Amino acid sequence: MSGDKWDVPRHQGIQLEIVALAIVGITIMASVNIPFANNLNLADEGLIVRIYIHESGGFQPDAILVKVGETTKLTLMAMDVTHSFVIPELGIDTGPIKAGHTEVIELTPKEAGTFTIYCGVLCSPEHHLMKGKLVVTR
Amino acid sequence: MRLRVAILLAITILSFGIAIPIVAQTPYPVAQVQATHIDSSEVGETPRVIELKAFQFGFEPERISVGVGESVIFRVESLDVTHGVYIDGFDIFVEVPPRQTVDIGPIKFDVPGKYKIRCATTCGPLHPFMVADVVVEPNQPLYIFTGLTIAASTATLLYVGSGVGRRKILGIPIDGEIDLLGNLPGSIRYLLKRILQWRGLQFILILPNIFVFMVIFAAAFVGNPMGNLNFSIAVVWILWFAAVEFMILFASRLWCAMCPIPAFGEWLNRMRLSTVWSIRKLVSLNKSWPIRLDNMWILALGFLGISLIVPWLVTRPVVSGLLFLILIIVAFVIHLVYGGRYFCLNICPASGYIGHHSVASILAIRPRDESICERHVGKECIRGSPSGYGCPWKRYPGGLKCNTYCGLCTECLKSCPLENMTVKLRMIGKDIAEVGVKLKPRADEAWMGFIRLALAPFYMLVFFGPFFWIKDWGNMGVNFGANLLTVHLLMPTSAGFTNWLMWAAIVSSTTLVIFPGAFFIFSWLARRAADIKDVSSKDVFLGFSNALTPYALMLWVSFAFSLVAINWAYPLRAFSDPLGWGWDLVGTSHIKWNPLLADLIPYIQLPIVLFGLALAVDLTYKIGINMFKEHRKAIKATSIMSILYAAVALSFMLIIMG
Repeated sequence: MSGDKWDVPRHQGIQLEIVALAIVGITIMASVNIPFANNLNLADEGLIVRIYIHESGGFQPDAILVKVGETTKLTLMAMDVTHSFVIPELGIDTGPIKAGHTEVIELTPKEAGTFTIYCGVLCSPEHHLMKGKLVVTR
Repeated sequence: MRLRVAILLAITILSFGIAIPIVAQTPYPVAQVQATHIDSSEVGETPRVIELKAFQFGFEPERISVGVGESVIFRVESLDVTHGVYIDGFDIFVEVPPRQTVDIGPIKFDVPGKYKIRCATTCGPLHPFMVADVVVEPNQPLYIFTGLTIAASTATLLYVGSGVGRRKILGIPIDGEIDLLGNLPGSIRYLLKRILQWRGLQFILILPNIFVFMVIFAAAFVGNPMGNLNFSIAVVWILWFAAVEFMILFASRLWCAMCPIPAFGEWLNRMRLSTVWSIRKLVSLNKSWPIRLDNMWILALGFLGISLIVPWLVTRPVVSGLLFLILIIVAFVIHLVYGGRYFCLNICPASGYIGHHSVASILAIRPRDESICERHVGKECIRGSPSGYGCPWKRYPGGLKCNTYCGLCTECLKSCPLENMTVKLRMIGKDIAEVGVKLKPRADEAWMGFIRLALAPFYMLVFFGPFFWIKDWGNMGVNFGANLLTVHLLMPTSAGFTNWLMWAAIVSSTTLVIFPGAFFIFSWLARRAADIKDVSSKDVFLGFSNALTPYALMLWVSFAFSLVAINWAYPLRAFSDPLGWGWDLVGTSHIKWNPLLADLIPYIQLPIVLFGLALAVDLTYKIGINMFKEHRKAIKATSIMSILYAAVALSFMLIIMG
């Protein structure tokens, strides 16, 4: 009944507290790093292109650099609705890719130049504005 | 009296009488498996072609009538993006590409009832709620459900009227309690005591949830803007939401014990994460909580406010993320200023409904022997001791009679030097049965109950019903998902915003005025019918509203069950791919979306709803006895109220099967 604190020594249990605090700190720091743990399981799948509706960003990235004659693996992921990945000039058409799904293709461009990438499946009001670039260098 | 019994008996038998011969004749509902393309030569007659248009986010027509045994082909055309078609009870998952028409079938519905056509390909934020109804007629199950509902109501009335159940709720003794730290065998008791008195218990429960919340923030702010591919929507609004609804019945406010939102504030107050240090003076500005805010109004209206934006909250990651971030910040500030769980008691919108329904829970922390508490001067349960802090929820555990504001933090189990605090299991609604004029009736708690009860069938109708217009109004007509980086996509048109205002008007008026108004009318009629003079209409109204607590909970459990049964795959996928970026951490990221027992969902919901209905009737009678002191008056009043309760159940039946 006397005083504002019980007769509990200030340092009692402090070791446990420090451990607990450290655990919380590590938990938060680990979780903050989550977005940076990108490409966790796609290490072998080459370049990842995420396909959003145009309003949400379109092709991410929208420019891909490759070399003539070299085989490049591309992993295409539809992010929000069903999309497709089409490069008419190179005869590439993945067909519809459902949201949350990926399609892996291999490119071996024979000539240099810049080729436009389109989405071939109606996905949003700005679907016709979805464009990307495949830049093939020597 | 005999006349009443005769009438009730007659209605009960008639209702069963309608139901049973139909049950005998109706083919047993089993999930049917059919291929999408059946050789037409196998089918006798030419199947009827039903034209169905699919668009973001509904079907046209919304409701389709089919005859039992009729063969139909659904000719589905997508008006905008890629959609898909799934039909409850059939193993059909067909994609419908944009602006194309696909024939699905022939399909034969052998069992009458209502089936839903659901979109099977993620097409936008409201995709999980893109639904059409197929009613297979004659709709015998609806008649069965109706008959059983009426029978349940009248049968319960007969039961309470007979006086058999005076000290029982639906057959289970009110006073029957299991003292988990007293009645159980020695070894289990010892183990439970060690766990519940362990200082690290709450910390260990909260820690994983801190990690989960950080994942929610990462996913909500930078993850995939499509809700069902994002942890912050898929796990929170399917798994967590349903888990809490189920948990309330069995574990009261256990979520509140493990909630990370107030954790940082509470740890700051105590300057400790789990051990006991200074218990008298918490680190805070020590302001007193304003008396005007010491009620449930903010909780109730906060929950209503959430409901106004719920179509966005449960489909747009950024909205969920922002809500939780705001709650954590507000909780922290409140702990800093006032010291103690005032955020949980008076601000948190989830706290309102979890606390409200926890009254009906079978679990409760109570003093073992109140007389010991009365004689004991130390009152460590409020003031704290070297073993435990004083109740952070500002209750007096020694006199605890009600779960509403007890967060199961177990501090009182640790601080009591006489070990007089314990955990009890008891029948659902025990505390409600003791409500009467003893406890002052509260309008804030009553309205929390009205809002909860009115919203359960409403959500069932809006989210899983076929009526696109109301979903669109609530959604403000915006078709885009959004994380923090694309939040600007949520800007509605003025027409969309106007429609939202109409949605807000519908939700608010239904929960704040229409349903409470109906409840008041029935309470007034009940008072008239029972010729009650000494209790005012207002007290009857507020007193009886307590009986809604377990009823509303059962309705919400039904809704949550259907949500999980249909969409269980999304949270499982989100564990492997929380940000929706294509990861596969534990191998579950491509689990197929495959509704479980979809055609049987209404049959599982039926007994849950009827259980709630029976509880409402029984508890109304118990409350009536406490208020009016006379059996005849209580039974008359309960009979009138049971009409309203049955009407609520019937509307739910209509929504799920009609």
